[in-house]
Amino acid sequence: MDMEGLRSPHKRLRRDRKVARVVAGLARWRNAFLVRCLLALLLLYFIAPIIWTISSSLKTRAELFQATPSFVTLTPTLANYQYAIRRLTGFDVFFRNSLMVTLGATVLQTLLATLAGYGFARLVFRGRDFIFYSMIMLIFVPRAGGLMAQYELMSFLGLRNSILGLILAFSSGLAVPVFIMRQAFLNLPRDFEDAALIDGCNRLQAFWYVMAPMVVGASMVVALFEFIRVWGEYLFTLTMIDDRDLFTLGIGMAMQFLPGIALEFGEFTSYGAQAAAFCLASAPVVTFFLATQRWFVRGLMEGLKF
Amino acid sequence: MAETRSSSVGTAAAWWLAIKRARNESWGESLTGYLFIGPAVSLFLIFNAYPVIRGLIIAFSDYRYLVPDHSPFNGIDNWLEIIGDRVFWESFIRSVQYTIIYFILNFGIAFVVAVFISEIRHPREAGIYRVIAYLPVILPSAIALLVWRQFLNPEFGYVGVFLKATFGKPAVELLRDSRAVVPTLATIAAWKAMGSNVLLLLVGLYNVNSELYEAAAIDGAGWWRRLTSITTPLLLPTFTVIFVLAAGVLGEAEASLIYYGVNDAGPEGAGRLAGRYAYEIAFLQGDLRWGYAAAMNLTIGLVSMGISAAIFRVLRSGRI
Repeated sequence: MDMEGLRSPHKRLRRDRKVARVVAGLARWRNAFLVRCLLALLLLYFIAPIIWTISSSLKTRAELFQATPSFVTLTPTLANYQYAIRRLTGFDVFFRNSLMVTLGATVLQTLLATLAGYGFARLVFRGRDFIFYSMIMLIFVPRAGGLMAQYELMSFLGLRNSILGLILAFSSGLAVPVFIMRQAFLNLPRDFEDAALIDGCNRLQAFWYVMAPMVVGASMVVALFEFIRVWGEYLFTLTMIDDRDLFTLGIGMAMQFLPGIALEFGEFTSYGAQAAAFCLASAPVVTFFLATQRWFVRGLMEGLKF
Repeated sequence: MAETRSSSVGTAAAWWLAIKRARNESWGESLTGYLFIGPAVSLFLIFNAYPVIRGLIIAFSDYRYLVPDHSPFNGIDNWLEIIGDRVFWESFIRSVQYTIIYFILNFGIAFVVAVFISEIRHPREAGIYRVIAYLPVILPSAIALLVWRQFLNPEFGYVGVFLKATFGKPAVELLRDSRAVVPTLATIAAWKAMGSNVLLLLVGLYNVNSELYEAAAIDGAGWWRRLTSITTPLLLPTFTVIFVLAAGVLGEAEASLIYYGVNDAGPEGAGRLAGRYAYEIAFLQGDLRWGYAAAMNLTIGLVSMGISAAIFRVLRSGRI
């Protein structure tokens, strides 16, 4: 049969094509394999410290002090979490403060930015572009004494050592969020809101029921950025808050674990329990990210199209 | 994205046009408009715009916070003092080293990772890689540093064990070795920030018209040729954004303040970056010389703006 195949030019051509397809398929498979290998190697730099922390938090004491630490644990235990929650003084207070500040600032900023983005994109009023571009211009002004001036301002307003003060200050960084939201509204066709207005909606109703639902992607990007920023903020909170009961997680944890300042709270050296505390402290922001990430890239592509 | 290339210049021009036009604009729906933007603009003015402007003014005075009613205007005296301040220049050099290392890692690795992720056509799989690349960004900065401290631990951490196995001798604690402090802090900071660059680059890569690649493939261009002749030129605006953001790192103070605490500047002061020095002057030393510290921050800010402007110029002229 083979000989016959070779003898017939028609069949030979068909077989050559098949071979070529297989070879091309193999090459593609090899390339895909190479890309994934290199990518995995690079992504290891991103994720190795995180894996290390998660696996340490689940290890038993004996496993933690092995000469060669293992990558995954075979006997996972939650003892470290129990220990961390019990022994970390004020963990619940720090956690609650962080949650209040972060949720407050995220909700407030997203709401205000969406409202203002709509105003700047869709309404015609005196000084509109001037106000908008002034906000954007301010991004390019160097922050010379910004932190000092904020300290002064917050003391003057009686907002130092206050959760409300942190919320207001964190949600005031509105230039970029307003820019993103304005961009999102500019990309929507006008017809939708015209229809809503003709049907008897007022501006606020047209905004809330018709336009706002269509820019959820961009709002999520704004909310996610703010959530991440506020949950991880350190320097500003450190400067504004002296009262230990108002510390957020970042500061509380640094105080608890870092050399020099750790002494004040007593030595707390179990690696497993530390790792468990890190996981607990990162859990909310990771959850929020995983819940909103499907909007993320799409929203970024909408909001960053200049 | 074409406009990003000249965004600061473009914004200034648009701002100037808007001022000129504002006088002739009709009041139209002004009341509704102000109601929509009012809350955001007032919050922005009070807590963001005012401190920035006030901070600029502070930089030109001898403001000492602990001396009551003491904030005399002193012109450029702060700058004359900075010129002679040896500690400042030492910390400034450290900041420059820090920024260079940060930039090389932050941009180089992010670019390679973004290109590889964009090669993956399977949407769900690419999504997983994006999430992994972005994970370090979302960790709180204090947690990130603490995690790295464990990770680098000479006795129990992976890196410490690896170093010991490779070089045979017990590893040192990197952040306690005065020569290693700046590179280590920069590596950690780059690790924390790379994910945003990966994402920015991916947005740029996904926006590249795939017909361009197909046309190039038909003309016989290989993978490398397509990368250098299509992808890179089209990503220049994104590169500009990333470079400018990296230039802003010159004033960074947080990592060292978190790791060593406010009272300790690391082994032999090696953790004292310029931003940290300004923070120490402003909030820890003597009678809190806010004027002097603000002048330092302004110097750092102007230098990083100068670098940004140079980057704009080079990348706008087209070819690199």
